[in-house]
Amino acid sequence: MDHFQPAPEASANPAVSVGASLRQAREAAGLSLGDVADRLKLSLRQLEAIECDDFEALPGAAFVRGFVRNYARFLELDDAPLMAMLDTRFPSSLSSEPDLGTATDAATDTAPVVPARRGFALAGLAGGLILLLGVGWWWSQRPVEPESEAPQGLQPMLTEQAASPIVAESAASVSGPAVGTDAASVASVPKTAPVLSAPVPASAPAAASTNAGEALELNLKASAWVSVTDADGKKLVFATLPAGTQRSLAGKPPFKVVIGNAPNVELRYKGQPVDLAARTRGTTAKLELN
Amino acid sequence: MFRSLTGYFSNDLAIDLGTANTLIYMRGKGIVLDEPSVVAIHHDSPTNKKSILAVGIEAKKMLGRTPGSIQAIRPMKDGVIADFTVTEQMLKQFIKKVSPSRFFTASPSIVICVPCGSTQVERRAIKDSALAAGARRVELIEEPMAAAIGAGLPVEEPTGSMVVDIGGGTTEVGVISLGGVVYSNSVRVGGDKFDEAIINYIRRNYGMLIGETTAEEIKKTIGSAFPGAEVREMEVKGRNLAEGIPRSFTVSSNEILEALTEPLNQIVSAVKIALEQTPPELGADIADKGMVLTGGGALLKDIDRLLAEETGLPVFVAEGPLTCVVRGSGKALDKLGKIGTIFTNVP
Repeated sequence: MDHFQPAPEASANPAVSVGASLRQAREAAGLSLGDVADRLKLSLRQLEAIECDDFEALPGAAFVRGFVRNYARFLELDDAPLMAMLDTRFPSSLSSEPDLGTATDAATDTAPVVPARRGFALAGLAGGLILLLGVGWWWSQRPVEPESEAPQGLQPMLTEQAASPIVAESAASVSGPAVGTDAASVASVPKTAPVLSAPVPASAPAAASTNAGEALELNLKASAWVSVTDADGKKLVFATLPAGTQRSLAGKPPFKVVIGNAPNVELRYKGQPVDLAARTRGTTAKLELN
Repeated sequence: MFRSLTGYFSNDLAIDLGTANTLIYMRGKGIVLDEPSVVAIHHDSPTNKKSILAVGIEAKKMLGRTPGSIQAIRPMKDGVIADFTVTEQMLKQFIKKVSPSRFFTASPSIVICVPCGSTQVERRAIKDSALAAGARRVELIEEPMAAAIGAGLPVEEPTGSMVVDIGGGTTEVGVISLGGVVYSNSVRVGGDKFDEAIINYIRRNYGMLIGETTAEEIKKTIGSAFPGAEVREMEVKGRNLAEGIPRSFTVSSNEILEALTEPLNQIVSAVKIALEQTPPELGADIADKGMVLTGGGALLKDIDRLLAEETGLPVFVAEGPLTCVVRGSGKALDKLGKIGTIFTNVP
């Protein structure tokens, strides 16, 4: 439609602008602008603006549509075609409201927006779930490792103790390399094997002399968190011990030991030093002693 | 963050909890419910238990036609909650009706309109009802503000806009500028009062008793607010009070106009008081732009003409006057959480 069509010489065809058709109808009814202004309570300036299609002079879309509708009704014109002509420039408040956000009842407007947001949300949620599952898996895996390590780590001690007379004998009688291969074959953990195998001959009598109950000895070079639980679930220690603490613990094996700040703690079990470094993650050592 | 995440899965709602009708607007979907605010309650006499039998259209059909064990009630009266528990149940049912049945649904944020004349206690009651009905968050918006937004008025601009919302129970007059209500006034006159006035007029002048439904039909068919050139007539059936027998008679539009004079005058005086109380700068804006009528009452023939003649200001009826308030509230949903004055506070 052409809003600035100059003269209304054309007859009342649909191409005629809103203002021109209103003017035609008014003139056909023999009414002056003053009559209309009197009836609609609009100012002459506003009526002239309507008839000249100068809608910018009117307060806003809702008012343009309201005034034009009232005018048409007064002239007993059908307002539907006029409203349709205004739709492009002054959209109805029923369809959309550009200055008040996107979520209007024009479903076509919002259709592309909503799925996009949904998509983001779903992707985010899926990512979150995967992350959660990953963390959960990691946590579930974490405690398993010391357990799987424990048999490996503790097996040598057991076998060592069981095998210690043999080892001692073999060390005494058989040549040196035999001990190395024997220890390596029995204990698949090379780190602990030398530590354990070396003092065995010396500490074997000491282990025999120590009280079976007084099995654990702690020596702290710096303050550390220590938790020792015996087979009955009794907590022998469950505290942060200050630096320089020396403590002997008696209880029923096996012991579950957790030591924070492990590099600064010496642990002896049945008189034998336990290599904490092999079972330390970060600074925390977790182990089970039989 | 969690709130915004759940927001994606909930369908935020705007509710026009009206005396006559309840409308619900869903974000992105438009108006999804438009039903009468009526609840039918079944009383189980041996156990003395009450249960909801029907709400909305079904319940309205039962109004005035119920046996002793069933009670059809309108829980809203004059724009406010008359029966708290029933309103809560009605809201719950309506929200359930419009919520898509999904495996995982978050509770919605809800914007509800309140009449500007309602007290803090009444607002609190409406808010609590909505929270009890399962809302995650409830914001209240005054009806004139919602109506103005719905009518497409430039509410956020520094210019005065006047809106007259004639609802079922109340008529709200508001002057709005810069996203806030500058002046508002509420009179408890609306569509129901029109019906009542018609019933009273016919009883007084014809000695006939008619029901509310008939009165409403008369109002819609031949009711008008301003004397027109043509006089229309309608045949009505009612019970003759003297004989006690149903009879048929004819009423004219002029008689109905006379019947409606009193409630219409109350609306006119409310509008005039509003104009008196409006600051002069905003008054000048209103003189230029006039006032907008919304609500079901705006459909009464020539009511815009009446107000225009009485005030000398341009008056026009908004497009889709029945849904203006709920559409406005729906648009206000987007403003949730943003700083603004369009929502009203409850302490």
